[in-house]
Amino acid sequence: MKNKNKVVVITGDSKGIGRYLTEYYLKKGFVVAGCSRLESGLNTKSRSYSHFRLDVSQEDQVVKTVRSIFHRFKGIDILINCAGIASLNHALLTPAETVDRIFAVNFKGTFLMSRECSKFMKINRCGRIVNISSVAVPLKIEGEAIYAASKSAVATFSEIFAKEVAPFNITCNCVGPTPIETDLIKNVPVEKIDRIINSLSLKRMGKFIDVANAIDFFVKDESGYVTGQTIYLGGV
Amino acid sequence: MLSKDEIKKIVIKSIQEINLLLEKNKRLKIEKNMCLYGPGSNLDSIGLVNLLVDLEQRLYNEAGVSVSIMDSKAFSLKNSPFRNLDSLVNFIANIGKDK
Repeated sequence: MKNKNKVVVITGDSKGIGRYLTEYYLKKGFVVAGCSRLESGLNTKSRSYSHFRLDVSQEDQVVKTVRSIFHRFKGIDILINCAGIASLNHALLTPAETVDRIFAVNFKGTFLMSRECSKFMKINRCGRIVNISSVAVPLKIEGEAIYAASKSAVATFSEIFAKEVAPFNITCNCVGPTPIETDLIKNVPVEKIDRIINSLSLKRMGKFIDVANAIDFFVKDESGYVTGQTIYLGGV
Repeated sequence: MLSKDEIKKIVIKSIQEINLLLEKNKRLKIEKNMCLYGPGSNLDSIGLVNLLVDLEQRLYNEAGVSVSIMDSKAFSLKNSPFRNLDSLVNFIANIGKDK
């Protein structure tokens, strides 16, 4: 892959998978535009890295930020939507406000970033979008009804969006990771994580590199004929 | 906000840009009250998306105007604002007024 000067936009880059992918793609020679609500915690002096603060669920902020990224780098080649939140709780005990926030970040944020980046990818008639779903979708885990529903929305959206942007030579795919040691699952009881791991074909926690590997496949030049697909990790 | 004449000039630039993507015999003929989208036009739905995205970017780049043309109001109107050149220009001018 010819990475030099390829611009990858990564949301949720202040921690978790987004943070890992930011460092990973910088090492691979990409130009990375990291996006998150918080300041970047990344300790890098790399001139290939820029950080943009925004709330991905706010349309005006997404429009302005994506425009800024395009004008600064003269292109957007890849978008990886990692920004996500979880609130794992029994549905009967979940406030509507929590549902709004989870869908706003996980689904609406993914939609807005995909829509705006596609407008600029379209100019160069080439682009790769990878969204992050979750194995919580196919596993249908109790206590994750809202989170899984939001990630199911991400997968369905990605599959249909892929068809809509195909005429512009933009691909859109989805990766569904297993549990990984991140802040997202820090409050999930160990027994519950064990139950999830035991329901996988490959019975271990996920690693960041597992996610990066699947994303690598979707974004590489040779994958221009792969779109509208969701890869769930761990053998679900 | 821009005058209708200024908006019209930008819309025409976008149409010219989109014409470059179309086969010669399918290009839109720029004339008064030209048909843009619907019966009598060669522009398909992807062509309309191309046109509106280009137009939004052009309005921002050339006039600093940030608008979302494809809002829900565009679909609720009895007559589509994308039917012809003048209806599109009027629609954009009214978005500016609403803001």
